[in-house]
This record gives sequence, structure tokens and C-alpha cells, in this order.
Amino acid sequence: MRASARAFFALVAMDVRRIVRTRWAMPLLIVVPLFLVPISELAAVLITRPSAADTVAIPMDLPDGFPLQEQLLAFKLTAVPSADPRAAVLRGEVDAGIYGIAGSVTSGWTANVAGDVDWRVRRAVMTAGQRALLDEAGRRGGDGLTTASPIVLWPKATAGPPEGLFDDVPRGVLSGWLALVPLSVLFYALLPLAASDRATGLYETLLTMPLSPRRAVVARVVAVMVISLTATGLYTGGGLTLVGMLRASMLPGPIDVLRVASAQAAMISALVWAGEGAQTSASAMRMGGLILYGAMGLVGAATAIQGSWVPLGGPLVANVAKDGYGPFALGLLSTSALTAVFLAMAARERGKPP
Amino acid sequence: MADAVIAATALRRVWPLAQKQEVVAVDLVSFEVRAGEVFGLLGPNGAGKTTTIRMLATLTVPTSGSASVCGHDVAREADAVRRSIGYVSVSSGLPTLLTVGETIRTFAALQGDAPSAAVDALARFGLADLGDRAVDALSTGLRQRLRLACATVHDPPAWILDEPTSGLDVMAADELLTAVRAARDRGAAVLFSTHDMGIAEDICDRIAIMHAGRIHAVGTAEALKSLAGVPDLRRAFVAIVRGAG
Repeated sequence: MRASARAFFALVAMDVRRIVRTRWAMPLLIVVPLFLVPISELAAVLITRPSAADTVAIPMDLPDGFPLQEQLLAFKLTAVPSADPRAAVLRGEVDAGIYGIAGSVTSGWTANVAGDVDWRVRRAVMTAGQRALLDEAGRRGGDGLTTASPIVLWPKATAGPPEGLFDDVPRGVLSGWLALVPLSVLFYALLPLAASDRATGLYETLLTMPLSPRRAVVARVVAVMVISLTATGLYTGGGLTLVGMLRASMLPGPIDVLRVASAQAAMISALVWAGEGAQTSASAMRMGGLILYGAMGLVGAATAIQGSWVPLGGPLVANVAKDGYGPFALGLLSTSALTAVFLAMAARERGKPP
Repeated sequence: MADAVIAATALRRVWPLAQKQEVVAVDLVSFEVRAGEVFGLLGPNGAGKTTTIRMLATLTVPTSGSASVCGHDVAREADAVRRSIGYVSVSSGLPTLLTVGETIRTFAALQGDAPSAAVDALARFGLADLGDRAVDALSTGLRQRLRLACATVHDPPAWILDEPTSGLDVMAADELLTAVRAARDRGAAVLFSTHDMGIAEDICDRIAIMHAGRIHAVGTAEALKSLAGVPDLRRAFVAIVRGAG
């Protein structure tokens, strides 16, 4: 049993090595998507970046007669102290990913694509009354009654989106990219490898080993899943890190050292990957890059899950959880189907004429 | 015989063809290979050599008859047979994108051997200095030696080699034959198929000449030449095949 387990894992290790070394597989699967995320994020920022007029700042000590609290309740709005909007987000007083700073450019929807979708929804469900209140508050603030303690008004997410609102919104863009990772691994690495192994006679060689064809095929599927899930994890962590760097450069306030350091690690690792992708030697360097990249990804993912990056990681994780199951299920189903195909291929090897 | 490592008895393989026809690829073939012996299989293309060998390597199930390796039946105890053989054919493959060391260690693990077996196998085939070399960068001769090293990493008692020198130059073939002789000297039974009469005469202790699925003559090279009444093995082969045909 011990020997057969060792044989099984030897096959898994063999296929993992070969997939990792497949020319262009890693650059295509990790580096390119890794840079596509910030690019898409940047595009979203450039397209949806609001003007200063979209931000509404009003003083807390409004003159008598303006029923602010009542209006807030009536119009389902919330007031966020501008001194610490991030803390308000962390406390759940406003939805993650959407907060603003009085007098500055609102950057909530730069969080990620999911945040952008949320923002569009919020804008869409804002009633005429809510807009009127915002306009009034802005007008009064603009009159210069006081600027001692400004606040930011945001619509509270108690009103559900109207039916059909999501029809024209690119939902799940990010999780769609995530799904591409395992699927791409399958198409770019597994299938060419399988064809190559059949052509070069590796299947026949393996069939003369004391190892069942079923186990050999399962080992390959396990190897693909290991690569797929690792790539997905690295990609998620790396994407979070680079997006974090992007946000850190756009938001006021101190820059998170860990975030920037992680982003730099991601970029260095990506460069290592890109440089090593087309080479077949220097495996130590390649593994070093993988370890560095993996550590960075783990830090990024763990930090996001922990919640310290809630404005950043929260919507992303929620989006993956919400929309990612389908594509991942598709990936698993594809793998299962391929398992059956390879089992059939392996079984046929044993009975065919020479 | 007590020391027969590989034994085939009335081995038969029929392949079905279209329209309910069939072709008999191997017909009642019997022979045995003893420990410390290189047994050659000679025959023209389509004689049934490869089908015979594939049955012994558990890649093809016999239609009838029986065969065993180290006493294990090839049909009923396939796993035990696979642990007892080292099999290389012209179509045997190696995993791409690995180094020599990684490849041999993988095959050692597949055989349930310790990593030290991989080191020993590389040394046996003169590949010890090439552990870090990419398999894809090896010459044809070195790649064939690596195939043999992988197939026999567990130093099996039975070596089954189907045209192992095919495509090799004289020097590469000679290096491979040196390894085969060393295995024979360690007591391995070697079943060796080839089209090269010179190699067959050089390395085989006994030779079987196959044609149309049957064995028509078995003996030493000298015995076959004497049987055909000709001075060299190539002419003896032609005479025996034509006589059978």
C-alpha cells in the first residue's frame, strides 16, 4: 500500500512538473491574467471615475428646521463620518467597497469590478426623493454653514435592486477570469500532454509498470487539479495584491506597507515566471519563483479573508462565492469527463494490435 | 524446465477483422528463456514477434495458450508479471519535459523501489553524469539507454526487448548491447527481438525464427546455420523463412 501510494504520488509529481514546464502554460495562465485584473480595474476607474460634484459633503450641525435624521430614515440613507470611512466600512455601517471621503474624489468603485457593479446598482435604485435630499444637503454644505465635521451621505443598501437591473451589467467578470484559469490549464496543458504521451508511447510504457491504468489517469487528473487550484489561488492572491497596490496609490492616507511589499513581491515573481516560462532548465530558479509567488499569494488571500482588506477583498471573495461556483463546477465536470476519456484510452492501449 | 524464467506454451492470438474475418497473428508458439540467457526472436515483418512479446509484457491478452514470467501467469497475475519484467519496445516512450534524474526516480517509485535504485540504474547504463540533463536534449542513443534504464530500474529477472537497437548507430547499439550482456551475466533472462542478423548472432545464446505466426526453428546461431546448410545467419534466416513459406 505504501509503495503504491508512492507510485501514485510519483506520477502526480511527474505530471505537475511537466505541466509547469509546458512552454507558455504558466505565462498564459498566471502572468497574463494577473495583469489583466489591474488593467480591467484601471479601465473601470477611468470610465466610471466621478466628478467632484458627485460627492456630497454636508456639515453635521445643520441649522434647525432641517430634519436630517428623519430624512435619512425616510429615504434610507446613512451618514458616514468622513474622519474614518474605512472604519465605517469595516463596522458594516455601509456596504463594503463603497465609501467616500468628503471633499475628495470618491473612489469606492475602484475597489474592483464587483464594487463597480454595486455602485451602479445603488445609483439605479436611488429614488428621486433621495436625489433631492442629496442635492439639498449639498447645497447647504456649499453655503458654508460649517465645515467642522463633515459627513458623507450614501444611500443605504436596504432597497433591493429592481427586476432585470443586472441584465446589462457585466456580472461575474472577475469570477469569470478565475474560471478561465483551471479551464485554460486543462486545454493548454492536459490535452497536448495527453496527445504527446500517446504519440510518444508513454502510455504503453506506463502500462507495463505495476500500476493500474485507472490509477495513472487519476494521478494525471489530480495533477491537473493541483495545478488548477494552485494557479487559481495564486491568481486570486496576486490579483488582490496588485489591485491593492492600485488602490493604495489612489486613496489618500497612509499606504499599507504589507500591501505594497506584497505587490512588489507579486511583480517580481511574475517577472520570474515570465522569464522562466520559455526555458526548460534552471528548475531551481523556477521553483524559487513559484515559492515566492505562492507565499505572496497566500499572504494576499489570507489578508483578504481575514478582513483587513474588506473594502478590497470582501466584494471579491463574495463575488467569487456568488458567481464562481458555476464556472468551477464546469471545470470539475470537464476534468471528470476527461478522466473518463483517458480511462477509455488507457484501456484500449492494452487490447490493440501492435 | 526449472530455470525457465519466461515460458510460452501454445500461445495464440487472433485479431478480428471486418466482416467476421480474422487473422491469426500468433499460432501455437512455445518457447522458454532461461536465467542467464539471451533468447532471440527473428522474423520478417508481420511474423508475430511483437504480438508475442506484447502478450508476455501483459499488453495483449492471449486468445489461447499460456505464458508465464517467473512462474506468474501473464493473464491472471499481470501485476506480478509487470514487477518481474523490464520491457522496452520501439514504441516505448519517456515523459517529456523532465530531466534524466527526475525520469529515472519516477520510474523507480513506480516500481516501488527506493531512490537509490535510480542511482544504481543510471550507473549501470552509463548515465550517472547526465542526471540534470533534459530528456528532450538527449541523443537517440542516450534516450534509448535511458528507456532501458527506466524499464529495468528494479533490475528485473526478465528483460523483454522488442527491437531495442532499432534506429541506433553502431556505437550506440554496442553500448546498449553491453548493458544487455551485463544483465545476462547477472542472471537475467533476456528475450530479444531484432531484424539485425549481426546483432542476433553477436548477443543471442539461442534464436527462434518466426514466420506467419509460428516458430519454425530454434537453436544457436551455429545450429541454425547448420540446419540451413549455409555459412551465415542471414542466409539461414532467409532459407528457413522461405522453406516455411
